[in-house]
Amino acid sequence: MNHKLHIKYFGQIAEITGKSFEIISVDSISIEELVKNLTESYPSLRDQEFKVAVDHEIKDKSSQISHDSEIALLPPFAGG
Amino acid sequence: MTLTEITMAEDQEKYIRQIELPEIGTLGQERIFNSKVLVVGAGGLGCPALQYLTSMGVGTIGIADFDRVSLSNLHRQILYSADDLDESKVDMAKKALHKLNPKCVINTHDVLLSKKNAATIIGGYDLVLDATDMIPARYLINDTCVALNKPFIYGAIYKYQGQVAVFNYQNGPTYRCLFPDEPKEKIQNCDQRGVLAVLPGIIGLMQASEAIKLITGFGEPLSGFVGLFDLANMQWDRIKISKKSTKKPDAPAITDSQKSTKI
Repeated sequence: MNHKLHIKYFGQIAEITGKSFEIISVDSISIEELVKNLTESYPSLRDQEFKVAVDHEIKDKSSQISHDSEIALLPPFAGG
Repeated sequence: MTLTEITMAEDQEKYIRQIELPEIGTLGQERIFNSKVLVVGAGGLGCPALQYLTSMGVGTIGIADFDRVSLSNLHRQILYSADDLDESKVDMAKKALHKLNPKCVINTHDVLLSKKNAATIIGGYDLVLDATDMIPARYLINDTCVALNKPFIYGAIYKYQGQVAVFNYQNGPTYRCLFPDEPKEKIQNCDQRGVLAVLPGIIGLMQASEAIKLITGFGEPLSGFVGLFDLANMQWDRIKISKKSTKKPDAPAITDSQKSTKI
């Protein structure tokens, strides 16, 4: 079944993707697979440290996304 | 009236707008008077946080920074003026804060926080504001606060976005529960990426707000979440973080007197 993922990119990640959000459609997918797919679209993501949140909660790589969800890619920030 | 009574009457009037909030009250204000807060980094985040913590009546404030005031700091580091260029940040911050509230005890730590001195410096306070601009310092503050059982309030910015969170509060998640290991790639700070001055002002004051909440006990601290603020579109997200059993950090040596469970 197809799911709509509303993906938000934060900090340096948004500069790599060139956008602050996008909506993609996927079948049921793990976070690890989602990150792999995104890295194919945006190769520079490979060098970035970030966490993935699903519906406002940080999830492990193995978590499965199996419904329409809001995703956030969250890198550490250094500035102060 | 005795001198103490006069002082108490003055304080009552000075902080009346805060005291008349039922959630703060006289008890909350006394807790603020008796609190000891360390702000690590007297820059874009630290200056506004220090200014408000001082004006709200925090009794003891520590400022840790090894930097000197430069011209490109002035647009956002609002405790300093053009007269302060090349002077020590902690000394100039102390001067400005003393004018604001002469009763506040202000300790200056004109050093780079390191594994050698972190426990000694942090050990003297109830809670810490991480207002630094370097990733390694954030891990050092985290690990030292975990070892000393003290909460710390994290703030960080990138261009138009900010992150804020309360970590290590009542056995809640720590920074390592969010980002377990130091990134291998260097993460750029304000000096490299630019910053709109109001953004660290907003995030620094969010940190000060969380500090006052922990001290007085009112409201719900931003523990177990990281808050994400985006100035460009005025969006605010709260992302839930779970407590993780992270590997024991290479913690500095701690003595019992440095540990605290007060807050």
